[in-house]
Amino acid sequence: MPKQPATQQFILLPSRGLRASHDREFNAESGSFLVDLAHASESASSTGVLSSLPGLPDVKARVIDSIHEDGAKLVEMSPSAALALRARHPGLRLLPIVWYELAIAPRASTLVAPPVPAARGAAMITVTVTAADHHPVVGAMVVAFTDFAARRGAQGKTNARGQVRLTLGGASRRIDRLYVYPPENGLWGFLRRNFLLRDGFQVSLQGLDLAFTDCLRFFYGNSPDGAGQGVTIGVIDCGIDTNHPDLHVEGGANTVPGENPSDFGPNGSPHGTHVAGIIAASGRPPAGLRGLAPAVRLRSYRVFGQGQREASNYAIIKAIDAAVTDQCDLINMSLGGGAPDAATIAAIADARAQGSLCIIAAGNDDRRAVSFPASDPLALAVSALGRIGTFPATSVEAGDVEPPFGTDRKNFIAAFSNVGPALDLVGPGVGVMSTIPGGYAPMSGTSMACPAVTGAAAKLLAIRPDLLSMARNQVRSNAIAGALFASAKTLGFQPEFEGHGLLS
Amino acid sequence: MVDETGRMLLVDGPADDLQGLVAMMPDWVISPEHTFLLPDPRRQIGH
Repeated sequence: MPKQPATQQFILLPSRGLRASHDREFNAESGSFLVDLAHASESASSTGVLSSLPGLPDVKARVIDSIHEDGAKLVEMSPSAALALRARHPGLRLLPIVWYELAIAPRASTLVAPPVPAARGAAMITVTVTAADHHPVVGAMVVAFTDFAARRGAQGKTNARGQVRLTLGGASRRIDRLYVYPPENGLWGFLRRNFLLRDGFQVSLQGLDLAFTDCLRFFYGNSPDGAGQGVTIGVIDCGIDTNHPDLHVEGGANTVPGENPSDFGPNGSPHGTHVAGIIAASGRPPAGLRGLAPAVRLRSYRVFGQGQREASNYAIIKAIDAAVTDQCDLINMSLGGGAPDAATIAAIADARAQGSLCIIAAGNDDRRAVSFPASDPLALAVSALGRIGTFPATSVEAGDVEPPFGTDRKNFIAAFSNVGPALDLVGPGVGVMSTIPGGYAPMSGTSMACPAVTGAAAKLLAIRPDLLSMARNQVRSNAIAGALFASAKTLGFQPEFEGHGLLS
Repeated sequence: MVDETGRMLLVDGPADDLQGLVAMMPDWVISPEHTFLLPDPRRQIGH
């Protein structure tokens, strides 16, 4: 007999504010549902027994409390029931209840012993990194973990001869994991586990074959030329290379204060160009690469300043506002990790109220809770999935394989992916080949899973003119979200790992 | 005022003064500026 999933408490809210009657555009059916729930709370069992919700015979829950008849409800249900409720009423917000602790300063303790400083003349281990053609790889990051769980070891970048010298306390050392991350130049990375690393160790990196079936192409294949036609997508990121032969950027903006508003090209990072290629690249393998929706109207909103790795919430909300004004149907945000703030929450709600959906990466914090702003209940949060056999067995992606595995045991949730009840969908995000300025590279992350979902959503929307032609308001964005949830198929993971599943 | 759009302002000033100003404008939301990181799944020492 299958184990009954544990229940947890959620707060159920209208899409804006605390009472349905305060939102003029709120769906009347969802408003009536809240009223019915208020009556259900009056007759609720105090023994913790779950019962069917009004109009949803398959969704078992307990209504614990109600704020106003048409307002917020405290409900208890399983994560699966929460997903079913969100699919039926996409205009309602369902927030996991949060418990705060008193802010008592923790007592100091040593978790990891400080590294022993290298003595003068201490033995070092030289690692040489070359490409398959024996040319040295310059600027590769070599990370040797003597204790991977504690993130202890030594790391460095290769020099002009492709060499890096690591101080590991001897001329040889047992290594838990050795990662080699090439600069983004068309090479797969390298991983070797549990071996004796000796001075003079040589690593040969495998080149990229654009005809290779990576996890994006395994799940979605190569899209036809017209996929995504009629859909406008905004990519809020580091900027997109407007000169890449596989990409056509229709327009955009730079919302970083003090920078040229019309400079929405790359800020020095390949990240935005890679994200854009997953959605909209129009090349043909093996000469180029193809994204999921090559016919979309692609817009670039750069929120990371030149050479910067951080974006302000102001630049982001300004970009969301610009994307909504430019009538983007879907807004891809492969970023996150800050504390929730009222302005970003308001911007996502505002986009939703004007018919646009924000699709946001869940974050790469090794199975921690979905980060903000993906955790915002009006955003669509995306976790990352991988598939064994869609990356070289010796590549860094092999280190991302971890349980849980899907119904097809080759599918797994990436070790780095954040998870939890805030998830809406899952996308392929381990070893995804895509465009970068001047070429192509594989990358992994929920940053890649997110545009996979955005691209698949664009393909779906392109064949739903009934949704695209709706007036741009909350009803439209709710209908689009509902259509996406209805299209998703579970891969056999728990909802905390895949949300509704993979868009078909 | 550092920057502006049709519906937003980026302002620089004493937090108490700004909070007091916004308290008189109930339709406005105020939030401190902070930053989001570009996600990086690469494994590194100490992370």
